Amino acid sequence: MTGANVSERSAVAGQGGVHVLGPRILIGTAAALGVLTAITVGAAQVDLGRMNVVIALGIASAKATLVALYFMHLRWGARFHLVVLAGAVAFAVLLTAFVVLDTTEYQPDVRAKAAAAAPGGAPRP
Amino acid sequence: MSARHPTGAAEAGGSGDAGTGGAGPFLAHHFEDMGHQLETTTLGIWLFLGSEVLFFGGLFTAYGVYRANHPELFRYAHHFLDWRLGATNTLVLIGSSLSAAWAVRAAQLGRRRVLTATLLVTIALAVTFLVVKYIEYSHKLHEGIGWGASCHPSAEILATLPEHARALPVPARLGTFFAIYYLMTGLHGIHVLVGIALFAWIAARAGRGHFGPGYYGPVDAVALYWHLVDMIWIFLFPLFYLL
Repeated sequence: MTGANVSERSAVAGQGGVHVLGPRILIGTAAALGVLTAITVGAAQVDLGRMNVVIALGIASAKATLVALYFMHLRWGARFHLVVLAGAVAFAVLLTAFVVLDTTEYQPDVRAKAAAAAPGGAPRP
Repeated sequence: MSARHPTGAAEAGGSGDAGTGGAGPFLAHHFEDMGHQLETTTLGIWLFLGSEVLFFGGLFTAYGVYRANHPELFRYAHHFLDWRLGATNTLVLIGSSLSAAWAVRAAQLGRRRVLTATLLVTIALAVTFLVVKYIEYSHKLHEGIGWGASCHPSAEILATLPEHARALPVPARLGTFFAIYYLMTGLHGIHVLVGIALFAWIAARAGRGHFGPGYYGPVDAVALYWHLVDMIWIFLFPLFYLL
């Protein structure tokens, strides 16, 4: 380092895991995130039944991916950082998915048992 | 040392220009050089972010379970949340992520004035987020919308619901929805508060001229944390305000 001010090119040329994000990528990422936010708000105004949840989570995932790849510069960073994040996300998604799949599975049994216990009515557990 | 370049031969050598090599006043004694220190701290922050994802993952599971069992409650309760305030806060956080990422760039290039300016913008936007959140929380609590057993919406706020929702009786479990809402957005808000404190610390150090091409690890670490906080909100916003 000869001076405090280093040109972008020389910083990028270093290759030592350093990647200086250019203004176009930074502003482009933020603009894309803003557009996706507008789309998710717009899509939620239309009643599409169960598809509303799928669309909203799909757009949110796309936004999170943009943040991770560009703002968090994972695209240029060490592969292992991507492994750490993807591993944690995969664990969280699998946990939520399987627990949610499982939680409604026993409702018929619970209701049947409650109904059997109180023949007069079927109080909710 | 094999530990210096865990990501492979592509990184071996040539790191001097970027200022990741050599020593400096901020090199901790247990690291070989600045590059070694940067790689280690960055790995450390990523492991922490992984644990944060798991932390919020458990909360999203709670949301999923409750929603799967009471979908009608969620469709009813989201009318109490103003999507315009939620969308505003989404854009505010996106803006703060942009300025945080720009601060990292400024530090890497040694542009001190840009660094200080972008850090202050980030802090200002983070404070804006909390102010909006405060307006939302205080309005709700004022209208009787607490969590758990203390959720008794006032007649005034019930009158603001859309027609089809007004026709329905107030669900008995509304307080549980708001318990999840306050828990998830509150814990996220605490993360924002911590982020403000961290950025204030980084801004103070930037003012003393600590950061430059040879030493920007702390700026990057705090920015990475901030982007994760942004990412969590990206999911909280549609889940609570829109669906």
